[in-house]
Amino acid sequence: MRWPLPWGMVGLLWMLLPTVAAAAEFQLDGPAPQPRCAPCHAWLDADPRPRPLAAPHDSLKVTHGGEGLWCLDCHVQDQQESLRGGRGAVFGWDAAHRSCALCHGATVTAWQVGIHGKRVGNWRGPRTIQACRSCHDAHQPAFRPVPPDPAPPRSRFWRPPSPTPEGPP
Amino acid sequence: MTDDDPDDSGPGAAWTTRRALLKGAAAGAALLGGGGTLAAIDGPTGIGLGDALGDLLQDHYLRMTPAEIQGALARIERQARRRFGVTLDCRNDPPLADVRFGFALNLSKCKGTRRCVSACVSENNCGRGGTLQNIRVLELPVGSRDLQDGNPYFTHQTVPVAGHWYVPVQCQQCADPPCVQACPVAATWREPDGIVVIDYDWCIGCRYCATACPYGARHFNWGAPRLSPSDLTRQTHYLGNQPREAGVMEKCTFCLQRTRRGLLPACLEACPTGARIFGNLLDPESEIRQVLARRPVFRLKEEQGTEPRFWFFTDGP
Repeated sequence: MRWPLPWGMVGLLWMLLPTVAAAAEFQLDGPAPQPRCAPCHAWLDADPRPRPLAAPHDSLKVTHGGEGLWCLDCHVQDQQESLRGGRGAVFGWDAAHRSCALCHGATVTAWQVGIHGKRVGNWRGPRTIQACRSCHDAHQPAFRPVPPDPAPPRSRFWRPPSPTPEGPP
Repeated sequence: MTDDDPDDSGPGAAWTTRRALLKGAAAGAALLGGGGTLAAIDGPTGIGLGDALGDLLQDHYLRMTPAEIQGALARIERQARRRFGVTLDCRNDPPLADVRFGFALNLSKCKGTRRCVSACVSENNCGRGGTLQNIRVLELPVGSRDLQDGNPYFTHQTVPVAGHWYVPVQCQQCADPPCVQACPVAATWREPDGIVVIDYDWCIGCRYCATACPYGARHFNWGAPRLSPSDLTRQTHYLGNQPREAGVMEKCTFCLQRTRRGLLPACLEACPTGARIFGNLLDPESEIRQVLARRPVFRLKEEQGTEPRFWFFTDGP
């Protein structure tokens, strides 16, 4: 007797296949976030409508995506440990980069092969790579300006560059 | 006289005598220095008499036998103990097989924080507060590659400053290095893993290489580095970050004391934005090869024909 193929299961597995090819063997590193939704939303229903965040959420400053992003574009309502993926998929913190890949697909691909992001430790063998959130604050992902380390002592012979003359090179 | 000198008289006699004397002195120094008796006697410069003789008679790095190299490493460790009171581990890790090192730097990500410079100074035992820094971060108008217009002395409250990009310049580890051709005593050469190194004990400090380098990547050590013992990086390499004397050339070696043991360079690990990428050019899966395969890259002063092993790229078009 032939067993019928469980096409639903095959389809599900297909959807779960990584959408980007991983290059080297790697292990993710980075702190897990500590969402604080549960104390209130365990018993209080969340309002899913996009709106400017007011108290008690006004401590949350979200600059990600300009004005265009709403909490539930990344988060899953009533599942504070989960992030949204495409086609209704839901990811845990350990696969958060797949949620980021919804918009930043090329960057996530570059990150997996080592073009984007920071590697530490070894340049050969299995790599430990930093998760997106270990460098970027997901709510304010841009790096803030920082003070530079001290300048080297000035050479006696150095002169400030003269303005480049106008005209074709 | 030794057996291989048949003629004792004539104009060659003085030379053979001197050579025999030096040989005898070297043998004596090795014997006594190794035994610890002569090494323990302080010479006029504060180092042991045996070590002073050993330094004087030390051959070029590439001509030393393994035993002589071990002797040189032991001398470096003893002198560090005298000079700084710390115990170094000075090694001589050879180039790894099937490895050519390459570096890439994402100019879209570099924000000019100079964290790489600080990490380099610290890792490579350069003097604190000195002018000798192997990495120079140039501030340039966005898109400019005119290194002569770069300002390495920017002192802003915060970086980056709008309208500028930051180009860190260090040794480009050229495949056809003009500095190596310029050296009159062959104290600098390119290792099989692609790193251009200096035998600090063979360098005469003439600075021809600094003039020959189109990137300003070689620096003359005007004084012995000012270092407190707690600042010293103890894991050192003969061709890398061993504590140097005054009057020799220094340069970036891609941290070969780290990279030849599988670790990433210190500047890369210090970069807060992940602008730096390092790896083995012979491994198609390595990060550096991925950059070369997937990003439009350029090198500094390519028209000089130096074939740098240091690429730059940006995120945008």
